[in-house]
This record gives sequence, structure tokens and C-alpha cells, in this order.
Amino acid sequence: MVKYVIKRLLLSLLIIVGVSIIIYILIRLMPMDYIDQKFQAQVANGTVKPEDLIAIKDLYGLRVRYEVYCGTTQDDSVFYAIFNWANWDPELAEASLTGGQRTLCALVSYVEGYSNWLVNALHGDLGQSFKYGDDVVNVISGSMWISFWISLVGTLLQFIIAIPLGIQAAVHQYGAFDYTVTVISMMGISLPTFFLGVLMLSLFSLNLGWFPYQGLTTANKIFENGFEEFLDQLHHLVLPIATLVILSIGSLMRYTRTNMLEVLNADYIRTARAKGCSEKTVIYRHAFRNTLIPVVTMLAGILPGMFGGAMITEQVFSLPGIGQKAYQALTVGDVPFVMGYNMFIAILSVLGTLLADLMYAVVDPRVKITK
Amino acid sequence: MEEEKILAPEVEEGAVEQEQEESLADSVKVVSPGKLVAKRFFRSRLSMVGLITLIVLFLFSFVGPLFSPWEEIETDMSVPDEKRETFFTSSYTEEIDANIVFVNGLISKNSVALPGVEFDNKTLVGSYIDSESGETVYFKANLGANKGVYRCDENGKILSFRCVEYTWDRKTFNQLGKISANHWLGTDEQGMDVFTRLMYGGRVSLTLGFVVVILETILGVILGGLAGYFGKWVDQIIMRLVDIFNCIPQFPILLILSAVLDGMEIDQKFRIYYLMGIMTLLGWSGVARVVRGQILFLREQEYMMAAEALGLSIPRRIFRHLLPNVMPQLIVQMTLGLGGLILTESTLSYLGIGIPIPYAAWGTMISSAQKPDILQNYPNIWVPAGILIVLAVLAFNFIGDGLRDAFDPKASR
Repeated sequence: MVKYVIKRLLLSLLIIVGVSIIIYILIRLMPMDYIDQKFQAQVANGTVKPEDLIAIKDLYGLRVRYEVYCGTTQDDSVFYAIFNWANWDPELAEASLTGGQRTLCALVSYVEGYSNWLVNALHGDLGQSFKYGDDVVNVISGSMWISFWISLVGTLLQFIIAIPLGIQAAVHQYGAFDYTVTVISMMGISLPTFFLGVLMLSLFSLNLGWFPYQGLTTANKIFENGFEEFLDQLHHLVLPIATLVILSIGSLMRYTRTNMLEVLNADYIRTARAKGCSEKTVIYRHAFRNTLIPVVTMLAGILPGMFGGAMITEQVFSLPGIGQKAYQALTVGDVPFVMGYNMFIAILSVLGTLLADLMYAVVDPRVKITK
Repeated sequence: MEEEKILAPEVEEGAVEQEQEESLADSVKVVSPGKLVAKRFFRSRLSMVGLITLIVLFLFSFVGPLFSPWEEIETDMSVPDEKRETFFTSSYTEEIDANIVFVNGLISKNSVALPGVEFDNKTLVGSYIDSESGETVYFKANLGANKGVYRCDENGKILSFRCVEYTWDRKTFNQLGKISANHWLGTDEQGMDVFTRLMYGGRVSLTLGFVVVILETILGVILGGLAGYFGKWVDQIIMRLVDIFNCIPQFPILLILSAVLDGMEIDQKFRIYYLMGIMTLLGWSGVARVVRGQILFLREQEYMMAAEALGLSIPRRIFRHLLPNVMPQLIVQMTLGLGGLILTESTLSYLGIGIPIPYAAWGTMISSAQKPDILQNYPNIWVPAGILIVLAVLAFNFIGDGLRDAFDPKASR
């Protein structure tokens, strides 16, 4: 078991490095990054000189260094001679190289940038987010809890509602109840997140006025105590959580139903019935417990993902969770944050599969982990 | 390991499948497996509902526009009565520069020049820049009969113009029009017919998924097949790749890539096709996993040993003997995948990185609901598009489910 876990963890490391390489290259391909956008105006009116901008980018290793090709980074004189540093024109520098040379420069600077990032990341430093002006680690750890609590409450509600319904549907297979549950769960699966979110906002917030429109707290409101603030936040969170529950309830319901059907066909259920157990005992004492095996496994699998946030839902409801933070960082090209966030998600999903596999062995005595 | 565990239930399924086929062969009335599957599929009520919905949706999007008086990108330039407002009821006098002939000339209001004003004694059409808001205001003024007074010099040039009363349309097109016989679902912000755009939007949303699913299946079958058939290091490399691709978060990557595509100055209209291509590259891993698992199980079957003993070539063994047995699962997965891809495409369009306005896609149409005014007051613009997305995805899911049940060898009916 320990050996298996160690092997899996080592493999996960490999996977995460692979993911980070792919994501790094993609991010570096982005045409405009945050630095360009932020200093666009200043560069245009001359308060920030292009060479300052280049210096900032070099600080973060975010520039394709065309001078690399000449190998003259140390020898300033050659460098100046070629690219005329005083009137630095990146386009001119780019144009003076051939396509192959440019690709080479890009590759070299990507490798440099990536290895720098990797060394820092291994030291626990994901860099400073440009957009949020704080360490990426701080931004992530600061905003992930909101997302986590929303997902946790949503998931618990989802389990409480979906499991009994799924079981009932399986018990009354092909009955009216089963059809209703199937159709409803299918509708949940088929709803686009953004549409349901927008629909909820329109109906319950704008037209009926039952719930506040977007955000986590009421602006300009002074709270007498923490409890009142908590209630206010809860009021804001009803719609997002309801959205999450409605969207995910369907698949869990179907999952429970399928598993329950499989269990109900098992020999030991027939035995229990033959012994004369009441239908209630058969279903809730014998079948139900075995149905829980895959469900618990699934829960273990989605637990880490809860920290990753629900990007679309948070975006629709303007919740300051990690999903929305990441969305905003992505749209402006905040390289350190995007890199850090994607790695965070990758680690969470690797952990999720590992946890699910381990949980499977723990819950189901028939499964033995070898190797 | 994990893969072997996943296999366990499939071994059982396969065994039952064989049993079933034997008993079928023994029965008097022999029905081919294909016919049996079709019979089961068409008997299922939900899958029929799905199939009919899908056919209707396809007809709606591909045949519907032929009967529509409006185009995908066509602004209704007519002005409905309720949008017409009487702007000036008191008298309004304008001194005209004597050097400019009024008919094709310029008049000024708030000291801002009004270019391009046409005047034919009855209507004034033109635009001016509002000095307060800085917005360009388009107007069409209907002059009441004998209500305009003009002062001319001896050469017929108009010196001044006085208007007692005229109506004045601030918008010269039917923006955010109400539901009417002309526009069954009203018009959107650009004055385009919502109902017609729903039809055109379906063309994109319904068909894009097919391309992705087919490409992704081909890629997945090849890689999964190689991994499953050859095992050892081939399997190791491919499955680690699958693991890596499984851990790449989809939406962040698509957002990054859409920015990359913008940087490469690719026409926004075609961006979604590139994005779908990228989704293929990201999405093959699921198919590969299924195919590999199935092939790992199948290659140990006796009939494969027979194929090997007959001396059949490896490609023949894979493509003629292994793949047909993987097809049922693949078809089910593809159908369910189609629904998922419609969701992804519409989400991308909603986020503004899919089909750009003014082109129509269901997701793009819903994105106008990001404005609170439209969200609250004009559900006719965005709700129908959402309903159509739900219907389409639901139809694919019903069909996929029906196919799964129909292919299921354990099913008794």
C-alpha cells in the first residue's frame, strides 16, 4: 500500500511537470501580457521608456530575448551595435532576424523562463501576481476558501437530495417515478451553467427581488456583528449554491440509480429476499450500504477539486472566489497568477484521482491494491 | 493498478454478452445483433423523444431560414410607433448660414455641425453629436405640413428655418423591438430579428460538435488502440500522456488560447473553429482510455487468439476484429460527448471568445443578458436561445442513453 502510494505520487510529479510545461508554453504564446497592457498608455505618452518596459519584462523573464541569438547578453557593445538600444524597437529587432532565428530565440527564452519558474516554484514561490499585486500563493490561499465553502455546502446538499431519489428511482425501475427522476436529472445535466445562473438572477433577484443581485456582501451596509454579516453573505450565496446543486444533482442521481440497480441484481439480495427480509430491510440494510461504495469514492475524488472554484458560476454571480480571480487574471494575461492557478488545479485533480483510488480500496474490501 | 480495477466489471459484462448471443443463436427466430439494437432503441420512449427533438431542431436551423423574411445579420431599419417621440413641441428656429444651401447642406445645433442632412420638405434625416453626452444621435424628423417656415434670399438660398412642431426619432432602427407579427421573438440590441438568429445560431451550435467528436474519436481510437494492443512501453507513454491531458484544466486553457489566436490576428469569425480543434487535442484522452481498457480485455479473448493463429496482419486484427467490438461503447460516448460539446461551445460564446457578434450562436445570444437591463426586461432575447441549448443537449443525452441501453447485452427486453 505504502509502496503503491509512493509510486503514484512520483508519477503524479511527472504529470504535474508535464502539465506545467504545456501551460507555460501556451501562456508565453499570449500576445499581450499584463505588463504590456498596464504600461500601454505610459509608453504611448513617453513616461515609461520602452527600455524600462523591457527591463521589467526581463525581471520576470517574460520577453523573447532576440539578443540571445547573437550570444551577446554579456557583451553590451555588440548588443548595442546590433539593436541600437537607445532607440529600442522590438519590431525592428524581430524583423532583423530570420524566422528560424526567431524561433530559436523564443525557445531559448521559454526554456530559461520555465526553468526559473520551476526553481522558484520548488521553493514554494509562485511569483507575484501582476493584477492583484500580491504573492500568487497568498491570492490563491486567500480566495480559495470562499470557493471551497460554496462547493462544500453545494455538494453536501447535492448528496442529501440525490442519493435518496436515485435509490427510489432504482427500486421503482421503469415506473413513473423513475421516468420523472431520469428526465429531471437529464435536464440538470443539459443545462449550461451560465444560462441557469443568468436565469436565476433574472427571476429571483431582478424580477422577484428575493435575493440580492451578485456579489458576496451588501455594499455600503454596516453590520452590527459578525453574525449579521454571515447571514447577509448566506443570503447572497443562496442562488449560486442552488445553481451548483441543480447542475450537479442529475449526474449523481443517475450514478446512484445505476449502482443501485447493479446491487439489486446481486445474488445476496436474492438471498436476503429468500430469507424473508422485508423489502425495507433488503433495500436500506443490504443494498444501500453497497451502493455507498462508489458514491463515497466519488466524494473523495471531488473533494480536492472543491478548492479550485467554479469559474463560470463565480463569474455570473460576481463572487470573489478563486474561479473569478482566475478568470480576470486570464483575460489580462497575468502570467504568474495564471501559471500558479493552473498548477494548483492540476495538483488538485491529481490528488483527486489518487484519493478516489485509495478510498476505493479502503471502502471495498474486495479491492486489493497491488504493486 | 487503477486500470485493472476498472476492467473488472467489464469482464463480467463480456461474459454475459457471450451467453446472450449463444442463447439467441439457439432460439428459433434469429435476429441479427444490429436489428436487435435498433429494435430496442426505437422502443425506448425517451430516445425517440430525443431523436424527434433533434430532427426538429435541425430542420429549424437549416430549413427554417429559407422561410424567414430576415437575414442572420440584418437590422430592421423601420421605426415602430412606440419608439417615435415628439422631441420639440415648442417652436424651434435655426439661423442658416447664407452661404450654404439648405437642401444638401448643413445646419447646426448647439454649435455642432450636422453633416449629411437631407431635407425634402417633409423629413429631416441626419445625425449630430450631442454636446453633453458626446454620443452620436441619429434622427429622422417628420415635419408637419405647413409647420416649417423658411426664409430665403433672392437667389432661393434658405437663410433661416423655423419649425413649429415635428416628431423626431432618436433611433432610426427597431432596437429591442417587442414581440410582434413581424418579429416573433422581437429584435435585439442591433435591431436584428431574434427568431431568425435562433435558426442561424443552431447551424453553428449543432454541427460544430460533430466535427470535434469525430476527430477526437479518431485520435483517441488510434492512440488508445496502440496502447491497449501493444502494451508495455507504448502503453506507458500513451497513458502518461493521457494522464497529463486529463489534468489540464479546460476553460483556462481555452481562454489563454483564444488570446493567443487573437494575437495571431485570426479572423474572430473563425476563432471558434481553431478553438474546437484545440478541444480535440485536449479531449482525445477520454476516448483513448475507454478504447484501451476495452482492447486490453478483448485481446485476451479466444477469437483474437484464433485471429493470430490464422496469421492475420496486425492492422487487420486491430481494425477488423478488435475495433468493431469497441464501437458500441464509442458510439454511446460520442453521442453523449456531442451534448457536452454544445455546452462548451455555448459557454465559450457566452464568455465572448466563441462566435462574435454580429454572427449568431446560441451562447452569443445569451451573452447579451450580461447587461442588467436586458437581463430583467428583455427575456425574449436570451431565454429562447437557452431553451434551445437545453433541448439540443437533452436530445443528444436521451439518444446516447437509449443507445447505451440498446447496446447493453444484459438488457432483457
